[in-house]
Amino acid sequence: MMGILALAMLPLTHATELSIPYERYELDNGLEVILSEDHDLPIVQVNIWYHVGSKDEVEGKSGFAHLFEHMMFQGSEHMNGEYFEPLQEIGASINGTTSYDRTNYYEGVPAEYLPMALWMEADRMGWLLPVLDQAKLDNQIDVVRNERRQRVDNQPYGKASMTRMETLFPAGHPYHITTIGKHEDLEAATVDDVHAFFKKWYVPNNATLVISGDFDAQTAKDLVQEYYGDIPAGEEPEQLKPEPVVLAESIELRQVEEGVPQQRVWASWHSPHLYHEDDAAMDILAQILSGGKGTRMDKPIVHEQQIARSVGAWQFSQELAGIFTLSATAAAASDTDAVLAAMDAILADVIANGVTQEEVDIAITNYEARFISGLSTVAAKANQLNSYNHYTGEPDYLQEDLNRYLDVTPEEVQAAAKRWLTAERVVLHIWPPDPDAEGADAEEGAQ
Amino acid sequence: MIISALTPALTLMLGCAAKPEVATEPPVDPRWEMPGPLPRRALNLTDPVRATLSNGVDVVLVEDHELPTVSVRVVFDVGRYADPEGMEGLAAATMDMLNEGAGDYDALELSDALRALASSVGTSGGWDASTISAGSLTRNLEPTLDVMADVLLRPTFPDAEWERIHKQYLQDLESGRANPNSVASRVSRRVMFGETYRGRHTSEEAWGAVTVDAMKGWYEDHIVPGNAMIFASGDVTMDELTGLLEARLGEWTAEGADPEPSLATNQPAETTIYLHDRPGSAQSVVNVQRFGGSPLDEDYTDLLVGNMAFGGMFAARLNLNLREDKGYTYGARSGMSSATLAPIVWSAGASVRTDVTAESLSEILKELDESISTRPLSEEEVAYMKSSMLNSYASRFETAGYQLSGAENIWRLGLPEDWQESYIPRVEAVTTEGANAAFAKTAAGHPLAVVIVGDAAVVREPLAALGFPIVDVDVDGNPIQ
Repeated sequence: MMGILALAMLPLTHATELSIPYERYELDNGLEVILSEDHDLPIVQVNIWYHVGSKDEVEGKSGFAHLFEHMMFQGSEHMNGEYFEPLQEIGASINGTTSYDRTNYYEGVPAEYLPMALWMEADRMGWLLPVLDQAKLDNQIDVVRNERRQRVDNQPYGKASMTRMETLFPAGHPYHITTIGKHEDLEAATVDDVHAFFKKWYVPNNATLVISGDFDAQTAKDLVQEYYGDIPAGEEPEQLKPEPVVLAESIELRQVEEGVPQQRVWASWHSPHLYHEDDAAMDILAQILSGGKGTRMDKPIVHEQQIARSVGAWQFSQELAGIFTLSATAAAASDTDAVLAAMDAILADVIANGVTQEEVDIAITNYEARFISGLSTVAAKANQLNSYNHYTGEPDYLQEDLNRYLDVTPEEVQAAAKRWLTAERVVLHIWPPDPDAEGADAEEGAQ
Repeated sequence: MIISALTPALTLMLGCAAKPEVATEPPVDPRWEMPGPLPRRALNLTDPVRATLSNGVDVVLVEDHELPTVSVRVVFDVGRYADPEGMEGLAAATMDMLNEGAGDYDALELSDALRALASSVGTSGGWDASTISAGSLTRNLEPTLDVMADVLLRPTFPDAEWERIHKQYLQDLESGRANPNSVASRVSRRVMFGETYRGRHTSEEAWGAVTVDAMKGWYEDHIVPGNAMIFASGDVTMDELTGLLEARLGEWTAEGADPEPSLATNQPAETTIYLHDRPGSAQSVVNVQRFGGSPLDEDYTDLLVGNMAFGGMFAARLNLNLREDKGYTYGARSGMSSATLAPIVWSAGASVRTDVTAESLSEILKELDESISTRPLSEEEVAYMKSSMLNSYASRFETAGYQLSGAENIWRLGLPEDWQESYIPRVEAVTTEGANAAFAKTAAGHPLAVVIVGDAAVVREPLAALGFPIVDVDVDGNPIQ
């Protein structure tokens, strides 16, 4: 159920019109506010983006943006307790997430509790530090290190994305270390670091607040002014600009990891950043290569030759840079070298001979369906408004975003593939230990 | 529904979080006062509508025209419980194979046809139910239902596709055994359900025994109108939908069997640790469990509230202790397995740092003991959880899933017809005594099956010191001699 997606859909791809109506304004302290009414259900989403992510961490402080996000749930001066407690009491769904580019916090609450949700969000923007102490920090360092163990260290292939990012991006690049960070850096975080990070990044003029759902705009404006109006602006933090990286040479890493079930391989290139003019063409290329059983890579590799359990292709584009990746899990009777060779041959054919209009049309239709079904909740729409605002400056960028895909041509896909995927790349193979290796070593040792 | 006024939540979770010191300064600044609610806004819901096709299959639709999409699920109330012994996974394989060739399509053509429509047709064979589901843009609903009808009525079970999928299943077995969470769930199922259907795992041998003929037989016996019900939502009216379905499924009148699952269970007789060694693990998966809590029990809603206070959410005792106080884990929760034909399992657990595995188990058991001795669930905690459950009600209706799964559970599990409508009054009626009694009856103060997947070389000794018997188990939960 949803109410704010204005939609006039005709049975031709290029006749779609998608829009999320909104109103945007700014407080005197620079806090950007976006209101989007949707009266379908008596619920409200409060979604705030701070324009800071792990890309903004300094050397030796990896993982800090995310650790800081956890500190935002440890109470503030006027509500010095667990942030979840009063909100879960009123049935809220609450969380925060940190990526390379931004940190977001959100509460979905019954409509009548909008004042409380805003009061709590504002309190931690304005009054976090007076009640922040070493004990809270120590506890959350433990929690975040447990999060890393759970998501990364204790999962088969869990460290692969760290290895790939560290190899693709040189030391010092904002994307060199993944958002979760290193254990030793997390352990070394201090209360002073929290203070400095807060003062630099968590200022109203570096945040955008979206309120979406069943509320009355004037009431919301009054509440926002009342709770946020007194928070002083800070210095305007400097935002990084896209930094293309060129690899000096291709790198192929081979790792043996205990406990992984199968051979897996990733091949990655530097690719266009988010909303770069080639970004959509690279997304379409990924769909054409591996968007279904019958697509270019899946059909011969997984279905016909059956040398892989699965293959994948995706364009991961962020604010400063993008990465295009091919990946595969080898079949038991094959190995990742054979699978990579097969994927490379398919890619070479695309670069040499292009893709068909039909392939592009089908990929576009699937993007269109994805755009529509991705907007089925107020939470998703609130976050989408903030995301478009952050990356493009236009909260209602929905139709223009879709247009990026509708306009892609086969020639553009081929040209983008040629431009980005003939450059140097990083390949990572992860193999299980060879069960015969130990015996072989022992024999050698005996000679 | 009226929700009782907000209790000051600051002082609620005794002994867990850092204590607030709100009262030390006289509150002169209005900012010290948490704002109260605005006037309540109305919750207007669209009730699901029902119809019956000419072949007797019931259809439930939640109509919603905001997005130009439609979803249709055909559910069969039969699943892996009908797998013959020695062919574990047959239902799942059969359902997967429906999508590998149907009508005039071979596997790739089927996938290509759907991709050209930006539609999906998915099939799955679960423990208690099997499903064929279709999703599409409204404008492509008709051709999507054509494909769905082929998959449902005219599967071809090509030998070559089974050969391919069979190899993939063998690889998937390896993947499951490498993942600590899926190992913990395999071991738990074996320990709790033994030789009944949920305790019998897929294996190399069982996949070797499954044949195309066995799948055809399973399909003919079970994928029949008498076992089916249809759940739909989205941009379509009931008249349109039944018209489209009649045209495609009206002639479908095959008859088959509706077997009953075997439901015997072993309640743990004494608390026992089942330890699966996963050398080098950075964390241990810890899971304690016993049977209990059927939605058909009179005190089920009491148990929902009682469990919620113990470990059902972030701000519950278990997580506030293990995560926010001790820092042992990223998150700890407890809860009942979702409503099923098989007896429901109550469990509590977390992934914890290897070197505090025994301490974590100890804390879980201590919380359970205290909940029936020194620290029963308080009036405030019970009021808090009831408030939480009542206030989150409206958000359940953002998508049709809640209403449709309610209708499905009433049909498949025999829940009372008013199961969803009665939710609010049932929660409102829960008392502190009721919540404590139901939680004590189900969870606290009883022997538990404890499953631990972690590095035995590090965790064994501290676990042994807790005094419970330790049984070493393999990746499938069978004792290692």
